[in-house]
Amino acid sequence: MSAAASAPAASEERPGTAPAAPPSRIRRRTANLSVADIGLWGIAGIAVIFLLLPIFFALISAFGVNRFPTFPPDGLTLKWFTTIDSSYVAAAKTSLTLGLVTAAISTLLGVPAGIALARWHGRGAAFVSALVRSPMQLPYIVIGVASLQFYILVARELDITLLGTIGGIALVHAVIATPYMVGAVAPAATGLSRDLELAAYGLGASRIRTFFTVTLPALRSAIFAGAVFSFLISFDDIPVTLFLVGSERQTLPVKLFFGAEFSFTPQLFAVAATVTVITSVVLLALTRVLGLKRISGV
Amino acid sequence: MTALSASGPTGARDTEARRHLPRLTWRSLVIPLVAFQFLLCFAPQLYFYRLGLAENVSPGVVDTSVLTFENFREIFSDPFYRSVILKTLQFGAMMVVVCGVLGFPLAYVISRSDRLRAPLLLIVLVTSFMSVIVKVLGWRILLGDSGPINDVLRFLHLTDDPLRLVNSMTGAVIGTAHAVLPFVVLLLVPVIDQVPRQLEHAAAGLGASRARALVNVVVPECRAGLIGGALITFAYAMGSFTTPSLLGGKSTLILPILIRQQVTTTVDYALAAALSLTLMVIVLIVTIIALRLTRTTRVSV
Repeated sequence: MSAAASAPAASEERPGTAPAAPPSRIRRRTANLSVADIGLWGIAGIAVIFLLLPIFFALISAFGVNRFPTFPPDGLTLKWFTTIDSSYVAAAKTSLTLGLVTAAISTLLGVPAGIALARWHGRGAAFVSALVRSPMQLPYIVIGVASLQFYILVARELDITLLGTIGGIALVHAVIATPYMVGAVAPAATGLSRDLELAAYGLGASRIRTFFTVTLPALRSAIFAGAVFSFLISFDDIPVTLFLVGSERQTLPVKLFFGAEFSFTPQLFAVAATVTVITSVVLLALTRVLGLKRISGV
Repeated sequence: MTALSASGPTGARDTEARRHLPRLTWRSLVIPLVAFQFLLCFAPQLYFYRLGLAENVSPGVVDTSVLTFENFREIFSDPFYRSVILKTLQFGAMMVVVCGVLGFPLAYVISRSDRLRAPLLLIVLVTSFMSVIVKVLGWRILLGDSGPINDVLRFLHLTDDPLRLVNSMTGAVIGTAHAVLPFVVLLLVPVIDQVPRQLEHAAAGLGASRARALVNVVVPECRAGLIGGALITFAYAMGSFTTPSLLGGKSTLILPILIRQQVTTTVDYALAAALSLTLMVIVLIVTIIALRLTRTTRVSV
């Protein structure tokens, strides 16, 4: 998530322009490999294994024949994938819809705010900037429980049902997603040269026309990255959503969470493996399209 | 004088164009988001904390007409809640240590190795976007009593009885650290990128060992970034209950898990609100201390 916040920091640089050290320096560094270097690289290696190992084991276990997944499995099978409950598919659709609605709200609110914060240097700018980013610092569970209480209040006083509805959940998802959209757009807008806009004004374009035909297209990849992060924040969320979903309409991660709380069945592994493979493929495709630098921010 | 010299033929058009720039309207573009955050984030937060100062009459019913500190008195006098708060702090501290020990070396290698940078970044990025559920499922297999890690430990005769890794604080820390580590690394890489490699060469040239160069040159330069990473880790630890409750079992009763219990099982919204406010204050205090640490002058070599 911090990836989103820092994503466009390097936005003006094309991917792959990291300066390479002169060859002589590399040779000297490898020649003088010290205990400290070995320790550092060793721990880094352990960290990579630490990151990948559980995912590898989760994926393998989805193909095991055992009713109670263990390692090594007694055999391999695809049957858990074919017996995935249709309620998981329904939950996946709910999650997908929520993610898209969240991304839309986050774009509508976050893009103008990001541009505003990039161009406003007066008094109060720093404060407002910290304010709109502050939901990032709040513990997610507190946001979830507070929203639940607030929605109960709204239902009681105003007779508006938000609890358990796509709109109600997406609004709270947008609360936690917009800071990342602002974090993606503001640095890109800061780096944007004003010359093009001035040229458009000079040629007689109106403010609004310039905004939509010059400013926004120039920021499109930052906006796209922000929208993808917003989608993923919504699509992955458990601690907020858990308190806002009703019993009949669940999101995929919440359903998986309840399932895991109950028991660790092989179907659970199969669903999780499917989701993991799909998100990884989408993410890898995005890094191909947008460049690793924009997605990771470094 | 400067105005006169700037008002050449092109300069005049330029300033005229600039006058058309909607200076005030740029600022107003932030208003919808601020209004939105007030309505759906800050107002609910305030309303919720107000419940913490009210009285729970019966499950799910809070009498907001009273203003009482009874919930907070209970939290701070009852040894049970005190032990939960201590455990929460312990959990946060362990998370910071694990993420720091693993995160800094990985970020350093990504920053300094031209060959490994792209592939390692890709690994970090992909794992950062993976659902916490798949990570938990993997750790359940790995850390189980008859799981691969216990098998290896037994094979090496390091232990005879299986270590209790799942349903313990250890499992909760490992699983939650696994979820935050990618974000810590993504935060630290640009920080280390900004420390010139020449500084390390200069230290080596002056006779410092590699270890000394790292500890006395690189780490102090990254101080702000390291503290930022520690803060992210701590805040994440304070807000997470999915991984700790699935991997920590009953022995990891930390504030987020207790808050959820109060909401879904006990249905004592007033106490849940008071506990949430306590959690918020803990995060706030730690953040302020950390920011003060960032501001103090750097330790000299």
